[in-house]
Amino acid sequence: MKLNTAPLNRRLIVTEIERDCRADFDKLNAMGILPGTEVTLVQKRPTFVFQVYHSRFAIDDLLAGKIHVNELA
Amino acid sequence: MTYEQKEFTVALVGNPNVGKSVIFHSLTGRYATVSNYPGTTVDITTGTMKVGEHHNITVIDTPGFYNLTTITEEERVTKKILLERKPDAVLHVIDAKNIERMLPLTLQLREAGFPVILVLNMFDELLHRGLNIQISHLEHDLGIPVVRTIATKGDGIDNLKSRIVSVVEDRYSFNTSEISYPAAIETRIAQITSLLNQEYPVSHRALSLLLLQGDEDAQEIIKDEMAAESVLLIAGGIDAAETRLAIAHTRHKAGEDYTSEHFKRETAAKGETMKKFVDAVTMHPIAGLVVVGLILYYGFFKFVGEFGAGTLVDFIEADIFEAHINPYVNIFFEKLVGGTIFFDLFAGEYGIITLGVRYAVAIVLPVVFSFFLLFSLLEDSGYLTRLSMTLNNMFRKFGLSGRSVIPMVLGLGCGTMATVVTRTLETKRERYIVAFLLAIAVPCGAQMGVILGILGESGDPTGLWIWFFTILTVFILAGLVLRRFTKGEDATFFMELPPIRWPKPVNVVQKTYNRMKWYAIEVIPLFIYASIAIWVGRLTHLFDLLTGILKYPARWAGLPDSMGEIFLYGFFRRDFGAAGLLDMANALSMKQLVVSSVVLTLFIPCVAQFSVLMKEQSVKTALMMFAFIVPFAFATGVVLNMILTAFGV
Repeated sequence: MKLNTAPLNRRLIVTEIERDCRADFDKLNAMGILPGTEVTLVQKRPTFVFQVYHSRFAIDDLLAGKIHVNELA
Repeated sequence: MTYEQKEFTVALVGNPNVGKSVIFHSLTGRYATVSNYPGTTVDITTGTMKVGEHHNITVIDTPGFYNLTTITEEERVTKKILLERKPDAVLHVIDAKNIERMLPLTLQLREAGFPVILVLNMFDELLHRGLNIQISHLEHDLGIPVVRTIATKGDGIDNLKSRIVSVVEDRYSFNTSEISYPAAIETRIAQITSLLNQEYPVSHRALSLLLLQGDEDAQEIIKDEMAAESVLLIAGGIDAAETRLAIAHTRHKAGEDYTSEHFKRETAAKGETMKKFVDAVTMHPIAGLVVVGLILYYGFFKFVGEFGAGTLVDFIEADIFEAHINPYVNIFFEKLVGGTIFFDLFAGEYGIITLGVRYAVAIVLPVVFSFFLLFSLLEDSGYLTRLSMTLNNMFRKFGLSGRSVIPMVLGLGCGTMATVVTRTLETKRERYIVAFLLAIAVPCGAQMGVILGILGESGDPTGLWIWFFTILTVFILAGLVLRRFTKGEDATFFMELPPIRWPKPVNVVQKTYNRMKWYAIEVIPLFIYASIAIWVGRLTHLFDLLTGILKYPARWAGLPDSMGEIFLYGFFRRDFGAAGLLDMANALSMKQLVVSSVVLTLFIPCVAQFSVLMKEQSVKTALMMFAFIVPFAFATGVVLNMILTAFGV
């Protein structure tokens, strides 16, 4: 599933990041959001907010739709 | 024993929001404007750190930086500093609790061969969360100096200074293990490094990695190599995006290996109920909007508008200038050069002191002071990012992202500064749209202050509301039109949310002071030049010609001929015009005041903003905006006058 449709407050693992825009893709990479990274979606409005390690990021649905995740069992 | 004076250079690098600028200040004793928000450290700040009598160490504070394969202009600037200045030590400042996410850059900088000191800043926030890092073990494993600091309190700075000295004097032996990448990448690294013969500011290994990721700066750097073509061929033989991902992944794994051993949870996180509450409220989809409204009303309208532009301005202008300075200046210059053309240069109605300095000190400075005080408070509390988040959806309608909120808000203080800050936006299109909106429909603090004074004075808020809604309508329409007719993709929104922090009064005051200093250095000379230009313009009758032309559109908008002159002065400073309007407010009807306030707000930005616009965009773009905005401002005035007349106002 994609991050913009993922359930709130569950442990998610990034499986893939779509790379149609180099700048977005690289920025996510540089911030440590890579396949294998664990993230938690904490909020969906007014923008998506997810937690990685000990920081949170605000992200719009366009970018959130480019991050594929799986829920950790 | 005698020592020679030694000169060294140290660069501070790191992500935005990690307290680099506060560390810079602690090291050099000079406070740079702290970039709590991605992008507000626009210029490079340099200072000197003195250690004993024998060390003068130049310290460079760089803009936010994530990776050597750069994306934004600011990152490229940092990369250039690293490559061209070849610093004797690179301080990688990180937010300690986010060590897992930030360590890959440390490893990358080491890989490039830089003498890196890892600074674990904001260590208190980490401890508050019940976490801890075993510094000496981490230092041993990484093979580089690791220092913990709480920069806002000055903790750890002395230790950091002594580590800097030992590194710049080459007394530290770095011992970092190499990261091994997947075989396909390592093979190519070996092939490329064997072909590189020249010496570079970064290691051959790091340069090869940059080339494999398709980095254009690296391609430029190696172009004089004999085997440049073969190198590019090898680098081009692998998918750059795939490689970037694989490299980033390997570095993150390496970073996790280091932290998994020495970064531990020791106790439960300490709850800070109040901060959690503020955090939740400011991020809430509805409560967040209420907070925006409250800040706009109490912060911008009540504090900046009524207190700064009202109370403070009245006091400085009436009680100080009008009562105690201007009369004496006039008498003094009357005695000195009375009766000559030079009297008007310094005194009289438009003199350098009686007009230029008076406007700068009495009208603009108090507004700018109250605005920047508020802005610094919001910035240091971590609120600005939340503001961006809350308004992101609205800004998207204009093809902008929530990031653009910051220059827009800054524009309510000073359009010139805001136009400079547009360079932190990621796409060219977004920079263009924001610069245009700032030029046309965002009134600066000084201008807004005067307009609030004029339209609010009567006690009847109708005029103010008409002005507000007209400007808002123009802003929205201009945004929609610009989105429709500019090429490019809509900007995406992605920002780190810093935790809510209680701003430290000392830092807020310092920051406000620095911004005012920037403003004074940039502005006061302009006021003086403007006074001189007005003096020359009047002396040569050039102004008569221009005001003669401008009086026609003024007439069409139902305004007296003398408004032409005010519009002309409005170009010298936006608020010059507005302040001129204030001087003649008594002679105008309410309708005329509203129409002229609208025209003045929309009218071309002041000289300073215009010159920055030419630099940030291009001369051609700036002139095109100019050519559009002037007739548009008057046309809006004409239409508004017609509407108001039709409604019998």
